[in-house]
Amino acid sequence: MIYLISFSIYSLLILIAGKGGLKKTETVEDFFVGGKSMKLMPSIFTFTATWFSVASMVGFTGAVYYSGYEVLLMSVVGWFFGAGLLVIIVDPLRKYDLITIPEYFHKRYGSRKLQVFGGLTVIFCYIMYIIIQITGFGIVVSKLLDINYTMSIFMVYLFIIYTTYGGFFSVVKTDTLNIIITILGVIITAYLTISRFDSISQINIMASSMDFGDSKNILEFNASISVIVTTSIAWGLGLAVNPQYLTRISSTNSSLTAKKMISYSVFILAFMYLLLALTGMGGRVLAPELNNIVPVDEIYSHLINDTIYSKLSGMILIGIAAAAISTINSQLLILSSGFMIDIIPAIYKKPIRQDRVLNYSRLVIVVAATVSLALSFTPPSSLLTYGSIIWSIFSITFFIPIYGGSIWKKANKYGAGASIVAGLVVMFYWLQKQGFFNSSYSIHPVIPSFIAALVFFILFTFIGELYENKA
Amino acid sequence: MKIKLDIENKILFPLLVLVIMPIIALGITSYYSAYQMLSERQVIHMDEMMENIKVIYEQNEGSLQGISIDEDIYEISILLGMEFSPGEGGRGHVVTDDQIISYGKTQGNEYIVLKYDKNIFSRELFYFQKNSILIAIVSMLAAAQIIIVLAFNISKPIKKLTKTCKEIEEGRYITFEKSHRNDELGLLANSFNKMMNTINTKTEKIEYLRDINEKIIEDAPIALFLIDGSNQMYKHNKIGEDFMSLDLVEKKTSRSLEEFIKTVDENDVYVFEDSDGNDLYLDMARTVIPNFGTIVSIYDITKRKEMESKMDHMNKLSSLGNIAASLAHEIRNPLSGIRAGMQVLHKRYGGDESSEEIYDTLIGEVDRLNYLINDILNYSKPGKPMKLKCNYKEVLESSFDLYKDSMASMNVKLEIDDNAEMVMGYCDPNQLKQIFINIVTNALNAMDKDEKKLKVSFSNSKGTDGNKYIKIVFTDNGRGIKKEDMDKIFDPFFTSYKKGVGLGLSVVSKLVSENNGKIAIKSIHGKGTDVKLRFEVTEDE
Repeated sequence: MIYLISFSIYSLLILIAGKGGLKKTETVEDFFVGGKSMKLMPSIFTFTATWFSVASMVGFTGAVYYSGYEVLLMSVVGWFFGAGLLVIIVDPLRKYDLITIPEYFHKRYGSRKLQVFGGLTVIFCYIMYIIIQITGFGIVVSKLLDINYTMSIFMVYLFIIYTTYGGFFSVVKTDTLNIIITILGVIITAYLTISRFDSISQINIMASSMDFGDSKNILEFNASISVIVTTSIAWGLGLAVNPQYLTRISSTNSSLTAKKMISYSVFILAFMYLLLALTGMGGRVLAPELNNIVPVDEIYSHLINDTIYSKLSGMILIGIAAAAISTINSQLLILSSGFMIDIIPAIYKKPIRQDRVLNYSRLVIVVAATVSLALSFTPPSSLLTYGSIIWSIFSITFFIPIYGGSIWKKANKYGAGASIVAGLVVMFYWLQKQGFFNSSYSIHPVIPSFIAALVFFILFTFIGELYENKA
Repeated sequence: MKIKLDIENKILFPLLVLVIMPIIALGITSYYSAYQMLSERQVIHMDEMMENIKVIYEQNEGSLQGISIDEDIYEISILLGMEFSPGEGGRGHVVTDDQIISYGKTQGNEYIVLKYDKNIFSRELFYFQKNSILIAIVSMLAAAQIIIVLAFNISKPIKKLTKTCKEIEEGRYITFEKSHRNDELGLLANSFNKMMNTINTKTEKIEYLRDINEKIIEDAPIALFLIDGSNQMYKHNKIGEDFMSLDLVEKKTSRSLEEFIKTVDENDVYVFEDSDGNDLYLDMARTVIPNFGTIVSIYDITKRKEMESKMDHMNKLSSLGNIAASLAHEIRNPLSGIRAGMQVLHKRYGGDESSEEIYDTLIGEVDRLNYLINDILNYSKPGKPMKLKCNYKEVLESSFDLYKDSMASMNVKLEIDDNAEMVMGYCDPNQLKQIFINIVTNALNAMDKDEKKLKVSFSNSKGTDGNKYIKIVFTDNGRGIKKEDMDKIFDPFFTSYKKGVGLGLSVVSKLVSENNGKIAIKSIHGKGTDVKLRFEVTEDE
């Protein structure tokens, strides 16, 4: 009953917020990057909301429950390292006045082919990533509302189409609402967990005494240092070139706003991850039996529905919904821009009227959401591992050309192209060797792929230069 | 939060009510029907239970032992008749808001009462209908989203049109984007666009005409005042502004210019006085413009009036000159006779010193009269100049011969500054001599200082017409001419000397002109005068 009432209230709030965002959109630039006019506060809200996904909330807490604090090193530290790289790229990126990130390949390297490739990468990765988000949402909501999984993922489908329809302004408006609800959800979860202990120290002392098979001690490294470091770097590199963050750099009204947006958001996120880590640790003590009976992604829902259930649990439910919706709508919008701005102009050479671009973009959003919904009926085994593979594709394909092109004047399209191909080949070889969804590796596949991409980038930049001089 | 009832919300809210209310009504009806059905079933079930309980109770001789019921759900009790009075009949049931009560009367006049809390099946009902409620919520959500998007899409072009109209009203925006819609709104937008284009074209024309009219009014050579229907000054042009700044007062009525303009009804010339006491003659004309007011035009004819006055004066002088010439002609012959007679009498009766002086004075006076007559004749009817090749310098020197004695007696220092190489030209030597004599006479008469100086300089120059000229400048250090007299010095009979007749410079001006020369005079009162003459010269042969 509580969940249904909370869900209804949330639906009403989203309807109101989404309606407000519909009105401002006039141009394609408005639709995809809010007319590049975003001020600091909305930018922080949308950046944080996009970052903090259902995978963060549910997957991260579950991972901490199982593996202890080393998860912070493997994921959060890497993400924040990526945020540091984002601050560095603000000025070079804004110089190119981008609507989509693959546009960088065209504007920096003069290559339409690379732009189209970038667009395709964005579409593929985001479809996959949206599936993760929908699945995460479906698992939690079906558990909490005690309804069918299919029905719960259909609910998120309705929300994401509605909140993305109005474009970037709509996404920002609903993100503002979503992040507030998400933060409240995280705080309430942490409060309900921590309040059952005398102190935070008590949580740590009690949690460290729990014997969880592989995860013996929450304060010790269960995984090898190489795994922790390379996984962390892989997350960081992926985050530093993830279009959902780079687009938000483009959408701000100035470089300073973009830098402040990243910096302030990191503080908010650090606070939220800390609370979730404590929730995971508390859950480990309060419900150790979950270790053997539920998968990692369902730990969170079990905790809030059984272990720490209260009248406030409804707020936590909509916090999860908000985290999922705020990430998915941003990704859907970028996916649509990848198709309409990066791919279509290369195929259909004639200029398309602005109002038609907007309508087609909305159509792409509906189609992509429907495809993702259809693919979500069979959910992947583990959200975080799956997410890591997708992010790896971004780190391999986008990182070297974007950061390399920004700091090295000589960089050319030959180097950029070769780095993408080499990186992908090495990564797929590595993944195939270890098993695609096998999370037990000694070195994250991104590391050798990244090195190969870097070598080929430098090598082919020189070869390309020689070739052009000869021509 | 105040909800703005714009077109979007006017479409949105009724549609939301129309779509959501039936869903809610359906949900409530469905829930209520299920509730009623469950309630009725429960009553029947409890009545059956009561029948069984009563039988067992009677068999157990008034004991509830052996009766098996779910105590979490039902509450059973035995009540005396005074404690429980359900009404007629030995058995039955009562349904209240929160309970279903089934009862049966025992043989011992007691009541067996079985109670059931309705909240129990309310919760069960909610659990069973959870999916239906969720579907209803999701349906409402989907319907609301579709309606919001629909209302937005319908109202967007209307809002855009309204916004554009508002901008046009504020004068910020005067073009429309072409609409690509094929529906009525598209047609409306495109019709509006065409209408705006027509308005723009006409507005441009009107603005052009307005600008032209404003320019004509502003740049008109006369003062224009526009008076509106309420007799208020609406506008005036720059010349009008100049008039207003003079603080003019009409001399007859003593009214200010602004007041006078508002009331003037007759086109005429009116005399105004400015703040310095100068008279201004203003020709005023009033034109009535229907549906607006009047235009009053003012043309300053003060200068014309002065010219007319001057012409009158000149005409009078001309007549006077003619009379003087006739008189001079008539006087000259007898005067020659008088002079000849004087000379004869001098020879015959002169001899002693006093007689000599008398005769010399008489003859001198006759000569002076003769000069005067010559001047009058030269001014009124100068002889046609004989154009002979002459040397300007020699003519000047011969003129100075006549003044040698008088200049010596006056102690005048003569300085000749000769820079001219070309001194030959065509002129009438006698007239030229007359010119020089008159200029030198004036210079000598003006000398009132102890140190008297007269400088004559010659130089050559080339004119803009390509001809070569000799420039002769007489510079004296006499008393000079007053500034206010400067424009009258060439007038005949104008003189600043008590003894003068005022013909000297008039004759000079006339003779210079007859000999194709030019004259210019500059003077500083109290310091001296420069007389500049210019004549064309030719190469020496």
